Amino acid sequence: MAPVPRALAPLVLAVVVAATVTTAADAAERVLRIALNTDIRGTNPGVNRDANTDAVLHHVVESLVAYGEDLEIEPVLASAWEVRDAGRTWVFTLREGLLFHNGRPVTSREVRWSFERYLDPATRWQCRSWFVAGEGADDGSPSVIEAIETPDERTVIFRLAEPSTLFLDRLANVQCVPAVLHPESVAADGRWLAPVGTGPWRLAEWRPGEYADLVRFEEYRPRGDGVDGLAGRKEAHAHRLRFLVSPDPAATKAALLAGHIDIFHSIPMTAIEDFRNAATTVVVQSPTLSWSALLLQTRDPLLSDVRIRRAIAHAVDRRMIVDFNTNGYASVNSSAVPVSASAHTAVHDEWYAPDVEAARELLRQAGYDGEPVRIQANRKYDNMYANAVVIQAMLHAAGMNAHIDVMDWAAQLANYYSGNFQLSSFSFTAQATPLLRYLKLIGNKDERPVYLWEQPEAQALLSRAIATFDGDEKRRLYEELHLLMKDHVPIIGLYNANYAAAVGRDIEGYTPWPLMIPRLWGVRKASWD
Amino acid sequence: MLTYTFKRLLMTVPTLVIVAMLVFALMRLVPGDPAAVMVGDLADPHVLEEVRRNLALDEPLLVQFGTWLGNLAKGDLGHSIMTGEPVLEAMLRRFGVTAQVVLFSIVLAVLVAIPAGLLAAWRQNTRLDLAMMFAVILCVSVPSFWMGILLILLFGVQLGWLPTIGYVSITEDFAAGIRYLALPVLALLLGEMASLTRMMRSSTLEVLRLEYITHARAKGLPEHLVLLRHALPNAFAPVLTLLGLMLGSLLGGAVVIETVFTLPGLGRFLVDGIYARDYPVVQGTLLLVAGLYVLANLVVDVLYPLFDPRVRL
Repeated sequence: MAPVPRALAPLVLAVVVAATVTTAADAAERVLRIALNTDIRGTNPGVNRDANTDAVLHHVVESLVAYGEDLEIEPVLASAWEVRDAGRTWVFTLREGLLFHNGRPVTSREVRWSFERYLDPATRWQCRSWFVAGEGADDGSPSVIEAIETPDERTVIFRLAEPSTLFLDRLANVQCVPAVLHPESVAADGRWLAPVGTGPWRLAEWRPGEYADLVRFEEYRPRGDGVDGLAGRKEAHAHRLRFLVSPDPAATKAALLAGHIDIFHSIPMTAIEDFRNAATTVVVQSPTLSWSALLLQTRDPLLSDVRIRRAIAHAVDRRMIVDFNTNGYASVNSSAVPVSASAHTAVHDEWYAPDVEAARELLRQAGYDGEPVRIQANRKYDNMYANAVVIQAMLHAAGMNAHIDVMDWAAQLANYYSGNFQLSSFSFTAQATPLLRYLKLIGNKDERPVYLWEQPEAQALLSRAIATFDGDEKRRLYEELHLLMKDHVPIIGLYNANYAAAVGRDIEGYTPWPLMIPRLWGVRKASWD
Repeated sequence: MLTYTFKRLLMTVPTLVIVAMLVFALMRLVPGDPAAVMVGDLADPHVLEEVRRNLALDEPLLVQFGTWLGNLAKGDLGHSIMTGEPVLEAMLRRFGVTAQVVLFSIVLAVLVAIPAGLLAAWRQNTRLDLAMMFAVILCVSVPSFWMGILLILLFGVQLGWLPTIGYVSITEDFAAGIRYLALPVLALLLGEMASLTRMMRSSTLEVLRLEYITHARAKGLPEHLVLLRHALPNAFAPVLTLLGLMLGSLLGGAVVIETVFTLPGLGRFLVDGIYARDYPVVQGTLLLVAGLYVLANLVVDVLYPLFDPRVRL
């Protein structure tokens, strides 16, 4: 082999020397490193967001209320609230002693400023339509804010145009969190600068494509007794959080095994055993509220016949899909009410048993003559593709001429919104309450093609569920909705996946939860004193 | 030469305009709505419409193209739909990362490949030549991403010598930057080195058969002078062409290497933009890539006559 040129020698020496240098400063600063599979989209809450963006910003900003561990709404910046006028007036009392990252106290003025900013069209807040008249929200049940009053420094009053049972859920929503921010978050001309929030960490640096760094807010005062969803006690043990962008799961795995990251937030199900068997890592799991499903276009000429849809339901063996595609790390569920939700009862487990003969009989009755059925799927989310492959095989076994159309995620998502599909292997993002899930499913397709279920009876049940504050009544209505969905089959729910995180063996206190947002408060390394 | 260079640079302008039109049209022909990708499956159609309006995606295509072209003439490539960053700024920053990896790997590859190819040709059909060609074929056959993962496992996980994730620029911290560059550069240069070595060997073999080489040997010149002074300059010309193509291609972004090694480079920027239907990012980046190709080929064409005087500009 050719001799290595002398020119390379200094470079080799530099690499070897650099590889042995350790930085004393890094050892002293307590840093937690967590991998994100994509970069965050921005730092402006709810304006340009995705799940990773939400995950980072939930460590920096807080709202009046948030979901607790059991998905009940808990106070955060508010210490209490009162509902008046049958849900038309909401009175929040702020906690005492709250501070923004710039050291200024949190008062009702900043709460009002924050909400007025969110409702301003210029802000481009993605959830603005929930609170503004004429936008229609997504369901005809907006929580329109008519006025925000601040009678004193610790009281905020929201007056709604009409009673809303969803107002509190919308304030607690994890996607476009209506965070309370200080006006120094924006420049004098309204241009966004950086979030000046109230969370246990503040944003230090965002290097697009590389990482987002948060540093501990030393004046943060943890509240409550223990970790409780996005509420509760947020003890910031780490001085710094580094969210590193790592798109390749194999590279992220290697980084965790090498100890170069501390938390691999959402590992592929197929990697669970590898991490369990590794000496340096531990796996922690949680059920989730995300919902994998096979969407059916009820306006399709073939699928408009309910017998065809019921035949597909009989053909699809959900337990087999869970075993094949998730290694058993999921809960079979055809209901829009997640298995882990308190509203999930035995009624929600009623569904079509896998029965190829029953499927064939229904197809025969419907006069099915081998027409092709096409299942859309994508490779970005492997679970959707894997589900489509197994479903295709099951439909073949039942005598259906099924094909898979693989497309990229952007195209499949566009088709979902436009209703331009026959069957679609899909996965819905977690929704904290079943009501929000049903609101996305039920509606008139002429108004919005994104709706999947346009039965008037379903709409009537949904309207009753929206109108009531009574939790037991809501649960009864969810049961009725599920039985109706079983009869009509506008969608075939498959499972609620578990999700698993892998952490370094020296990490203590990291607990995943159904909303899948990583929480780094209460998390520490065993070596930290 | 200056006139030739100037003419070629002028020809770049219509080339880039055609590229701009093609990229614009092709991206909009691909199914998928950037607004839908941006808001995911949670938004209601009101939000989608508003996002489209805010991003001017609801305007007629010709208007969108005209606006973009007009801004382009002013040096404004727009803002990323996904992150809101100015595309030009983001692109140049990412290009800096790619350039570091690519230039290091190309330079090292050339430093090894040229003498290796010369040696293999000089010692054709000996055990040394066979061993080198075996190594070359192995390096060409192994995909760079697989090599990258193996290197990460060996040097990052097993030995713990080098980082497996993250990036530091050598302009910020040279020592740390070298640590982060070592593995991606190594993964990239093995394939490049192999291709360049093969080309160098082939072209050297052709040159060594020419009469003037026989003449030089007959004159009694030492073999190393025959190789370095007489064979190398003529044998290098085809390698230069390959180098130009390689450079243009790699500067456009070695996306697989960038993904495996979590490098925030131009290739990953482009691919992420395509998946997200981030039109300004894709349009801007492809224009840059096209420009780089043109520039790399121009440099090769201008330098070619230095190695082959028979070629005139």
